[in-house]
Amino acid sequence: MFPKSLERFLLKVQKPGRYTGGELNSVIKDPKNADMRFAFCFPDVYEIGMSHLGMKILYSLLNSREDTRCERVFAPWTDMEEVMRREDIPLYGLESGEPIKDFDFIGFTLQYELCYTNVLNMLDLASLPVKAGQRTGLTPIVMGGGPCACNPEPLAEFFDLFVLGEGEEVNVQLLELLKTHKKMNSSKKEFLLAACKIPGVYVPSLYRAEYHQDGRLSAIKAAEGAPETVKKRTISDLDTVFAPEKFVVPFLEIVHDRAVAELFRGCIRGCRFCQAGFIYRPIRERSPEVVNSQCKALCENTGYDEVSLCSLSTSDYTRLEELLPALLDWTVKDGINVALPSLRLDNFSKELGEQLLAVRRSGLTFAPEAGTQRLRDVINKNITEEEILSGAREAFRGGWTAVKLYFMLGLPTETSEDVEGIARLAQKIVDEFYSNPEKPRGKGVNVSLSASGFVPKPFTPFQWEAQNTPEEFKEKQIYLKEKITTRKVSPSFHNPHMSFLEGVFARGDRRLSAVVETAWRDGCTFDSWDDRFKYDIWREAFKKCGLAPEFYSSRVRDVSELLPWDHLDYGITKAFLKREREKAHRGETTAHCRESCAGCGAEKLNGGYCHARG
Amino acid sequence: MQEVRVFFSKTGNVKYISHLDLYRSMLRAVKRARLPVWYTQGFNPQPYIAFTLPLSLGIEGENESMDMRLEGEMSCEELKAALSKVMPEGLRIINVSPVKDAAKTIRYASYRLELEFLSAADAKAFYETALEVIEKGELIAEKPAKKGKGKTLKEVNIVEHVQRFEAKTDNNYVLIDATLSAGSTANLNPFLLSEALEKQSGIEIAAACIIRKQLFKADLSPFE
Repeated sequence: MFPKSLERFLLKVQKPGRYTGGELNSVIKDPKNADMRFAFCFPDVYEIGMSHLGMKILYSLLNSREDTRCERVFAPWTDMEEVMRREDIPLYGLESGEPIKDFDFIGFTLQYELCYTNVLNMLDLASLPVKAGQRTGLTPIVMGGGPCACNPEPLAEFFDLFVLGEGEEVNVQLLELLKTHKKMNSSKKEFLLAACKIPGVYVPSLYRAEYHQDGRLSAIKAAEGAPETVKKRTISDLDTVFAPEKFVVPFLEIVHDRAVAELFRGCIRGCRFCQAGFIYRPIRERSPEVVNSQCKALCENTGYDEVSLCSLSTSDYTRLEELLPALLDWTVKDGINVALPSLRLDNFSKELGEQLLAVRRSGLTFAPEAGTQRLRDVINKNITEEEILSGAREAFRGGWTAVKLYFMLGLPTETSEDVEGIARLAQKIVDEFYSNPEKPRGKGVNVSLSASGFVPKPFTPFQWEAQNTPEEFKEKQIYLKEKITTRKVSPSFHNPHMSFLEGVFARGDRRLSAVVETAWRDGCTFDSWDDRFKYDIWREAFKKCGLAPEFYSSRVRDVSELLPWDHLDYGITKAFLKREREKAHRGETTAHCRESCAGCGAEKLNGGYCHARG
Repeated sequence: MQEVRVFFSKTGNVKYISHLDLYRSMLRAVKRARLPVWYTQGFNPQPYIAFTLPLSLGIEGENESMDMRLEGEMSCEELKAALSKVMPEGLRIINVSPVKDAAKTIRYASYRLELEFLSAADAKAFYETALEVIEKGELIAEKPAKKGKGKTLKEVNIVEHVQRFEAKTDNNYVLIDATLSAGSTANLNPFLLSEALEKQSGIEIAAACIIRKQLFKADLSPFE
């Protein structure tokens, strides 16, 4: 639903279906019995937000409660924003069409740093003050979760609380707590003081940051009984935790328009650049029976013709060989394609590939990440050139003529040789294609090579490293382009200024709240969109706030330095990250968790149990 | 294999979804209903669904149709019941019957246009201009040319494509019932008509609600 007053403008905006709601399986409840209202906000456009699995899970979970109405909210595109501001239509939930400022919770999922201005813009469109301190009533409580909540400091001023880790249990606890406090007519402060006692709940206003003269953090002090450190939440048993059997089926085509079921959480690999590989530990698997029946229910209830198995590294699922035959048994019959994203080249069997080919051929993507073996060892990618080339060979024999390659520029210890190595590796893959005796006649090969800028992230062994400056990124991009001599390889690059800002906010402290607010007030929104990104305004915002972005991204931090996220506990210990960092600089690899335990410490979040150790 | 024609309505908020989105929604409905439909052959088999005459985004349809091919045994009644159970809000199955007329026999479509104006005086003035123009028999509008590169426009006399035109005013509204050329040989989008009248009269339409009521053959008998 949408407000009636919007009706006459909907045909004047792009893709009006983004704003109307009413999709199959959307949940519309009788307000009489469901008095707790939750606005689940994704700070980007509908097509991106609707593809997000976390939102599907929490939307279904919250709506499975009789007392709760959860609605979806996305960032209106600029044409719609203009209409809403001009006509004075506040941001509304897609289920009821009612303003979200009247809801009990406004929950944002924070998937990437460049969405921060959209968060502020959505609060403002909802007619709410962006600063938490200026929202004085008990409700709405504005909360944030998702990967960026592992260092939410740059957003500290805007949020009432953050949820660290997995949300299935803690969101329900918060809901119950707020329900009680509404009955008691509590103040917001009273609620927050109680909320911060729930494990996994971080209330930023209860912590004070202090700084050295040179700008480095000197202390983060908890006040008013808030815990010194906040530990992230972990779901212990993935077979019994709530998993949706229905997805809202959009009318519009969204980015990932398919059913999705999780295989496991966490990752055994320990690639040192990868934040997801660390913050979702310890590893926990779901049983094939549970995955299979969820896939089946999802396909039946949605009519999707593709189901995707979701995890950080699909071929590391220990029971894939049990799951796939069970799955293919009915998917083939029903004309449903099974997608296995995130396959690793070193344990992707030929049989597996052939089984999948039974249905439909999709794109093939390899992620060597770095161009030389030395650098792949530094980042612990644990994949050899021979494995990459033989993977490509298998693919070409299987009839593929296009592959995508993902690399990063600016990894720690990178030299020009490593950058050149990217071009060399791509060339070798092209050569593999032409040396295939069975290659299709008259067909060329297309290798698309994507090189992004490396962003050091919290809770990784590279959290202390300096990021390349935008100028360095640009130089490396030009150098790499020069080294690519074949037209069979088409390179594409990320905007270096975007990577730079991402780096600043990923490891920023709470002083950056002022910069986010200034940039937003001066007109920045949708910063992850190339055509909307306004770097000059960002530069100016830093200047206005008297802060240098380079302080946050371009400086090597000493391992003894207090980091803005040191009071947040994601299970993995700092000692482990330091060990991994030292090994990286020595070019030593670490075996994956099933081979030998590297002692990351995350198992303590799950009562000492880690699936990789058994 | 039998070919069946499914008549359905597309009303309310689903008017904001495009033809392509409607197609996808129907594919999924067919999957959910587990209909024994014939799949297209090739790399990416899909249930075969052919829409008779696509509806523009923003226009509601009271009696639209699409054709499907059935491989298994299923009566039209069974198909209607199965499909009805799985349709999203705003899409409703009206009837299922064996295909009778070929899509190319469509010549006309009837529409209801409910045009809202900022004042009753605006509505009245617009109404008078409309009647005058139709009476005179000429209203030139620019329409994207079918052939040629880029954004070439060609001029058409809209009134030539108006088979029937009845209008009345009601406060801020002008209500028009019109039968316009439709189909593969000549097709007049009702938005083109309302916009041309808007331009001619110089009066802004505040909001337009347009419904396609029925498709007709050359002899003005309903398309079945």
